This record gives sequence, C-alpha cells and structure tokens, in this order.
Amino acid sequence: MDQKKCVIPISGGLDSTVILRYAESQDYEIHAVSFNYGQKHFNKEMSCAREQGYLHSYTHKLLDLSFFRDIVQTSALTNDDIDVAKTKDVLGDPQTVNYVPNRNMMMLSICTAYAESLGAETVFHGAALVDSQAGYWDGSVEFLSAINNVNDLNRRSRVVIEAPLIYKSKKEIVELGVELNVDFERTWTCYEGQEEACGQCPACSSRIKGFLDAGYIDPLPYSIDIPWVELAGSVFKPGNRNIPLKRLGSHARIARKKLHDL
Amino acid sequence: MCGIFGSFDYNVYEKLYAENGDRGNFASGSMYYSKKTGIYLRRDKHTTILTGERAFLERDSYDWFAGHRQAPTTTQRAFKAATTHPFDYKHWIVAHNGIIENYSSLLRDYPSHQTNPVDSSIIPVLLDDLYVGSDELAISETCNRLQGTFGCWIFSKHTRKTYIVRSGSTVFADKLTGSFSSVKHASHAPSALDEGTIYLVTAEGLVSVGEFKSNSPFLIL
Repeated sequence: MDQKKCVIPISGGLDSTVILRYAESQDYEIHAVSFNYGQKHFNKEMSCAREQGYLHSYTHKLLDLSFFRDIVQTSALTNDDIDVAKTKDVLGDPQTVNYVPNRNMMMLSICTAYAESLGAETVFHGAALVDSQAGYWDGSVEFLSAINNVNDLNRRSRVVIEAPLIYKSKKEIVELGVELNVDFERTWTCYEGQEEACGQCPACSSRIKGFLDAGYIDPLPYSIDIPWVELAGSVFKPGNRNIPLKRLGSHARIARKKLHDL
Repeated sequence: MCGIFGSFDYNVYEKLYAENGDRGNFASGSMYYSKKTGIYLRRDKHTTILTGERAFLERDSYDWFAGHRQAPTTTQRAFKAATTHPFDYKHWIVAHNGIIENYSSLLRDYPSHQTNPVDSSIIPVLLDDLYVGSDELAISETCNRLQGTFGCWIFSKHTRKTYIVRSGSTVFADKLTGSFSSVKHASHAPSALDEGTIYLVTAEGLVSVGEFKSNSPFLIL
C-alpha cells in the first residue's frame, strides 16, 4: 500500500513541530510548507524550521507571502510601528493587536491546494486549545469544522484538515512532544523575533505555562529571568510539590549530535 | 468574547456598559439589587437595554448594578433568554467571560443539568452542588473544577452578596469603590484583580475573602 501523504504548514514553533513528529509517528509521507507573510519573527521561525528539516527527511517549501505586510497594517506581527502586545495588557481582548487577519484561512487554503495536487488527503493544522482562549477565531473548533465543510464541496478530491492538538492544552502538547522526542530547543514561539524570547507576549506566556504544568524547564533562552523552581511551587498541586522540574537537555544533545553527523 | 462589569453607581455602570460594547453587542443582561427591593434580572437581544432604565431604577431604588455583554458564538447565533447571561440557577446568579474547556466532561458529572450550548451555564450548577453552608468554599471549589479561562461575577441568594473571580480572563476594578469591568477603565476600573482570588463586593470596596487554584493557560510574569 502506498504511504499516506500529508501537507503540514510549519512555523518552527512548538505546536507545528509536535505535529511534524506526530505525522512521522503515523508513517505519513510529509510535505512541509512554511510561509513568509512578513512576520517580525520570520527569521527565528525559519531557522528552527530548517533545523528540524535537517534532522528529519521531508520536502519543505518556503512560500513568499510577504506582500501581506503591505495589505495588513493592523497586526503587531506585520507592522513594525505596532508593538507586540504583552499578555497582561490584552488577555481577554476579543481580538488582540497580535492577530493577523484571516491568516490561517489563507495558509490552509494554500496547503489544501498543494495537498490536492500531490494527491494527499490530509492537511495538518497546528491549532491548539489556547489559540481559541487567546481570542483567535481561526484557531477554533468551529473554524476547523467550517473550513472542512467548504472543502467537502470539492467533487473530485477530498482533502481533510485535521488538527490533532485542537483540544489539547499546552501542557498536553509539551507532554506529547516529550513522548515524540521533539527537540524543543529548536522551536521558536515568541512573536518578537529577537535573539531571546521575551517571556511576556501571549505566545511566550502559554508556552512557559505549558512547560511548567508538564513539569519541565523550557530549554529556550529568555530575555527575562524565569524563576522556574519558584513558579513550580505555585502551579503544582499540593500533593505533587516534591516532584522536581525536569530538564530537557538530553533531547537537545541527541538532536545536536544528529545535526553534526549530517 | 464577552464582558462583565458592575458598580454601585448607576452613572458608572452606564459608562462600563458602553466600554464593554466592543466585547459583545449581540445580547446583554443585567442584575439590579437592593435590600429593600430585591433582585431584578433582565436579558435583551441587543444594545438598547439601558433605554428607559434610569426612570425604572429611580422608581425602584436599586443600589447595585452588575451586567454582561455578549458576543455571538458559532453555536449560538439567535438570541434566547436561556442562553443569555446572567445565568440564574437556584441560589446563584452568574455572569461569565471566557471559555470553560472542560464543559463537556462537567456535563457528564451533572446529567440532570439541561444541556445548554453556553458553557457558562454550568457554573451556577456547580455552585449549587458544592455549597455546604459557605459561599466562599462553594466558589473556591467551583473555580478549582473549572478549566480554561473565566472572569465572573457571582451573586449568592443565600447571603445576598456579590463575588468576583478571575482566572485567565481579564477583570479590572477600583478596589475602593467596588466598580469592575472586563475592559480597563482609567477612572473606574484601573487595576487588574489578582487571579485565583475571591473578592467580595462591599460598600467599602472589594475585599479578598478566599482563594482558588487558577488553571489559566497563561503565565503572566
């Protein structure tokens, strides 16, 4: 039987990297796509996406959508005049200034077209539960259902967009990533795109919380001090207070060795 | 996303009602209360809920005003009173902003609760079930069971008191006056309330009366 094919949009972020490993574990032939839509953190994202590519073999296309910067002026991610919002200032907003209008619809449409031309039946979408909670309508279960309803109109080819993480908390995604041997040191989440993650944007906030809840120290460098041990005491339930936070160094060392072997 | 807000001062309540308009213009609900007159609840389809309110309120002398403004969701796009905040169940009245992640599993724990597409409807059911004589304990236990994001005002008919809690969702307040809002207001709701704290609304302001474990998916440093 031919290997199943899938298309995966990858950003170099934690969620899409876990999806990559998940698709590998399900024995998919993977066709990865990354997008440059003019986002501030593009270089950091792509650095991670490419490193993940060195470690595992799949086709990887980079699509240039940088025209988006010219037409989308409202997002902090694509407009240099707008600061990336910190979590404490925007949490609970119906749509924060970090939101990029209709981004997921655009990317998933392109991935679906690619999948159809490849004869792939699946596009994996990296939406997670926290995306809905952060106010991103295009990361919700309802959005996934609606876009699949549209794709169902295709009389000839059936491409289904699956989102295996959509009901998972960040904690559960980290745990799954550990299980799948993800090299978290080579994933990028922060919207700022600086050398070190800011630790204060909504992307960083949920990532840090996910690692803490899962019982791990995030191997990414942060520009602010993250008091992991002290915070661990505040998030663990009283009965688990004696369980120490684990470091993910072994995974990173294994990954680095593979990189150097190529 | 939705917005919750409240104040002892109706003028402030009107301002906070307007400020929360961006968070929801689909439906709104209010609870007015005074010891003398009791509780008054109303839920309306759109934004004109405050039309004519002043005359009504002056006539009936309410002195605490708490409200909610609601955005439509995919699952609920037609106005129905049953799916509009505040939710009134037995001894509890609750308005909520946020997403209850574990709504489905909570529904399984309470099979007698009539299924409601709005996840917030489970909150007063939990409060009623977990009440053993103390408002604070019931609220703490309820919040411990909720996963996701929430900012709520909770009115207990046992004690005729209002409480405010938040975890993951924003609630700003003036702790001296008791005014609060999901949207920051420089004059009337300037400061973020602490996550995981149960605040009691009193005539002297907001008082911390309990805690719960916040399961917010965000960590704010």
